[in-house]
Amino acid sequence: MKKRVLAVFVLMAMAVVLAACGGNGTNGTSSDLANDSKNGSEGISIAYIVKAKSDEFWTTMEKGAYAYAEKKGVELSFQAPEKETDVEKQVQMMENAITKGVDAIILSAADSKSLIPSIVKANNANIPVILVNDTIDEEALAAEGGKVETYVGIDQYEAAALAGAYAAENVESGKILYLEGISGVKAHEDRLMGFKDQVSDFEIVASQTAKCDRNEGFNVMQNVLSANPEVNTVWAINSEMGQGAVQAIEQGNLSGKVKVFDFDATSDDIEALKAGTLIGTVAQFPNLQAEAAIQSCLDAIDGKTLEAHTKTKAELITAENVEEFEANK
Amino acid sequence: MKIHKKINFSNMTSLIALLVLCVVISIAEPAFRTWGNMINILQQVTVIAVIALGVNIVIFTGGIDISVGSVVGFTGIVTGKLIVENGISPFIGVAAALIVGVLCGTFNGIMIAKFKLQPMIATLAMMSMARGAALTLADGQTISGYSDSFRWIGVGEIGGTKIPVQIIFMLFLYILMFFLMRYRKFGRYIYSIGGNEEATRLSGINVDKYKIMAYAISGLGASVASVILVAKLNSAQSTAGLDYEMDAIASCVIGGTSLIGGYGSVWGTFVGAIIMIVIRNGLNLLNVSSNLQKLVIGVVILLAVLADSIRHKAGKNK
Repeated sequence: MKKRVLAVFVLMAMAVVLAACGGNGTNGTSSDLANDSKNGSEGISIAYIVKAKSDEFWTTMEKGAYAYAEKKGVELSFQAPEKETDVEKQVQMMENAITKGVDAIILSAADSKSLIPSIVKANNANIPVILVNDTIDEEALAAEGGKVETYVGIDQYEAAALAGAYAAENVESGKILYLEGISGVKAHEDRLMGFKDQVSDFEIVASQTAKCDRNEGFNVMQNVLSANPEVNTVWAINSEMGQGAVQAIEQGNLSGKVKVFDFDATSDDIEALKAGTLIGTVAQFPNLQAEAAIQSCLDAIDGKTLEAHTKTKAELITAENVEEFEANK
Repeated sequence: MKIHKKINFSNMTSLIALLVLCVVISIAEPAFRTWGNMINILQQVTVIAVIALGVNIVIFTGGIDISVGSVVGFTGIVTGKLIVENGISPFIGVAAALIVGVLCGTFNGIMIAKFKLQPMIATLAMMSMARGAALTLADGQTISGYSDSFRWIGVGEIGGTKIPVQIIFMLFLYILMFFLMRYRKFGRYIYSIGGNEEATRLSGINVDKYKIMAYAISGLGASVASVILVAKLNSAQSTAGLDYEMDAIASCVIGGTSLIGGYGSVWGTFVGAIIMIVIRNGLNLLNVSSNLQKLVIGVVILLAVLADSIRHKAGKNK
């Protein structure tokens, strides 16, 4: 019995090794062929490592990425840990991609510092790294001697400022609750500051993280409402927390009194905009980011120098332009 | 008799801890004492308390179930797929989710009782399988747009009283479990398995059957909690329930349930769950960062386990 189990394991291990070798083999030949053919991107393999695949933002990005990769004939592997905060898994994915010898890595870092050693490792292996959606601590990266080709994404600070400016104009004597994201994620900090700087005359009632989770957002909103019933504005730096807040406000029969703004423009956000329970949401068009990221990889492989920040589009969606946004989606 | 004494004692420690906690927070933040906030706390505790109710039974037998968080995610997606995407009546959708939960638990139980797998390993496998199933089924999408009749479970209130229905559900389940554990032979067998499995087997009790039942109840608890969570948030997500197993186990431990098995109580776990939520709620009200909340909860778990260990020693010396 034991022997048989052992035999099965050995067979499985061999199959895995063979499959892996096989993959590399075909990669080699197709990229050889590609060098001769006109389409330069044929046979290029890109590892696309993001923070999660479990919400609409990432799945939209994934779809956009695969569509563009197919168009360009790029072999793409889009991967993510189960949890947005699982830095360790991302490090492993980076290492696997480097070992596998991909031609470029696109990374959305779950933490602004922890991925730096992996980026340096990729640099040493001559694999260009492109950041998407999340920036990292550039000074620390430079200190370690690492570099990235470009950062593709919206300017998080400016995007959040769009919502902040709208709030400053439309909410009178704001008493605000900030639903922060995960500490250490630069994008989240930028979103917070971008909004904050526009509404500097608002009174801050509370500033709490709800870990980007809907249930947590619900609970924090509920708790803050009972401690500070005068709160009338909420800035949630992602959609999940924003939706949690919307549900808690609805349950407290305070819809309309508390004006919620959030980030991401998910389909739940769109529904809430139409129902009037959400005032504004910032759309960041993840599919456009994916396209720009893959294009940046191809340019970098071609030896072009890229700008430090490849900006993509962000837009504030409110009840006024929600229909237009949906139509273009 | 001896067992009962111990249960009462452990019940008291956590209850006293809860009272002290409430007094301290009330002094620091008057908003804590309001009726509305009490309701908030009970509402926020429901999901964890219902999961802990089932996990508790497993821990009584000397086992552990770390798959419950994933089962929450999986069964939530089941309701979404059936009710929202296929327009099946909420009644059947909920029933299907509960059945899936029971099946996950039963599978765990069979692996542990019949195939003699370590509970930690068997439920670790289920944790991964159920989460994987949820992620695959949902394909990264959040499913939302439930009907009001379904959402009543999560946000409905008992006519005019402002008391959420989910609190009544939770209390009902706890009372039911209390009677089951205290006055039925099921309860006695479960404690007895945790105390000494071999002796229980030799006295002619079908240990395997009761163990499987314990895990099935744990799966059922997770799926009930999931239905409440989905109804409350009007959405099912494949990542729902991440880490909830840890909150549930912590509730049991803080409430005086021994991880060695054999003793602990239903109400102790309820108090344990409330302690965890009160810490979070209180620190929220005081606007303390959530990073610190984690630290505080860690310390409380440690104190609870220390108390348990000291109790054990005292018991042996007698």
